[in-house]
Amino acid sequence: MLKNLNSKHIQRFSYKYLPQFPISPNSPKLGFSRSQIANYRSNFPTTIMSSSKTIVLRSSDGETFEVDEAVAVESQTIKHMIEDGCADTSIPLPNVTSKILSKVIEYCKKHVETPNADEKVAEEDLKSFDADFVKVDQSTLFDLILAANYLNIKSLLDLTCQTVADMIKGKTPEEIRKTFNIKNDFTPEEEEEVRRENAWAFE
Amino acid sequence: MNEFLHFLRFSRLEYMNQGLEMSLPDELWRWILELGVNTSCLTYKDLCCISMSCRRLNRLSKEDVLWSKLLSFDFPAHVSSSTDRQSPKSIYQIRFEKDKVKKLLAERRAVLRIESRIHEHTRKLHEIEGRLVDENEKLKAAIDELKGLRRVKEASTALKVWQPEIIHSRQKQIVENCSVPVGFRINALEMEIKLCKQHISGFLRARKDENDRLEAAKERLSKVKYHPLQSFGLDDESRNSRKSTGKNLKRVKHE
Repeated sequence: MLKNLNSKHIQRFSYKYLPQFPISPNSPKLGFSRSQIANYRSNFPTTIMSSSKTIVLRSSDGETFEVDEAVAVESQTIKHMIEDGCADTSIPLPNVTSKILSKVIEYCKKHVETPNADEKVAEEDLKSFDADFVKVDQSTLFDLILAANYLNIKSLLDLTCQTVADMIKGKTPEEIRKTFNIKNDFTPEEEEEVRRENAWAFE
Repeated sequence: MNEFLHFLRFSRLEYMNQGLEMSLPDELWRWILELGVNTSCLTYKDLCCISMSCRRLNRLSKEDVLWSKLLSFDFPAHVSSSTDRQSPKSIYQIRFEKDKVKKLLAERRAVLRIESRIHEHTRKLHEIEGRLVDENEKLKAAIDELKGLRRVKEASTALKVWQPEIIHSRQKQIVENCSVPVGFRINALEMEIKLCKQHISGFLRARKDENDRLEAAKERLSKVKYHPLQSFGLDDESRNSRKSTGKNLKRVKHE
């Protein structure tokens, strides 16, 4: 039966439904050669019997990153892709560059490694990691927001958006424009009207 | 390669005359503002400042979700009736203006506090300047006296060698006119000069520090006193690099 299985058949199954049998090279029942089994293995999305599965992610500029599945499923997008069986060879992420992807993976790794913040030390450590993580330049921060949104990683999205909100806090409009390099596209009349509209907050 | 792509995208935004904030879509800005309001990071003032920065953010910061949340935070006693046809932002404005008096007093207190600090710093600065002037004068006097004494010393050494009669007698006169012990006095004066110089450098440092503190306090004051209508002239000028009318400048300065 197995001799007739080729990659076309395998791609249709989601990995939940794969037959649960051991792929032992020496198993007398199956009688495959080592090379046949290696070939067979490479057609499955993940190695069945090993406990740590790795996922390969490919950034927009072609660089590949191998991560543990536990780390990769921090991203709901990737998790759904795996569950739907789209993760054959690698998961392409066309909206994320390698620079941003490596940062995101670093974040996910740290958050997966840290146990559930029961001890104060672990919690403090995670907080300081997060604080250092967002000490990047503006455009990288915005790219991280976009990536966290695309990959659907709630904690990273909240962290980065909170950072931006903290940057906005307490600034005058001119300072806000300077910080985020915003072009003032009001006409002088519009500007005057907007200022009058909002003057009540500063009385 | 990645840095280059990054740079390309950033410069493309610049080329299209858009700011960096355009790289985020509306829904993400909405989420940022919502998160800020929910965590009490952004206040009504921040939302108003944001709405004054550009058209897009103006639109996004006026949303009902944000202002309803602020209403429930700041004015929890407000009961929103279903016949409320006004936007949450204007409701907030109304409640806010009722509350204005209390806030006005608090802000006035803050302004007075900073102003008294500024006064304090200015006074200290004057004091330091005064002492600096005194010290400088002492230094000058010491240096002058030292010069005189050095001349006496030269004269007394010169007396020991043969000189023409006129010069000899003049030098003798110089030496005799000096009533203080030359060697000791010279040493004392040199020490005093060193001390003066140390004091002066100390005063200069103190003056610089005090100046820094004064500048910081002034900046704090201008931040606390920010008002969109008053600083309109200045902002406009800085944007279009036109000469602002003296009236506007004076108005802000004399606040």
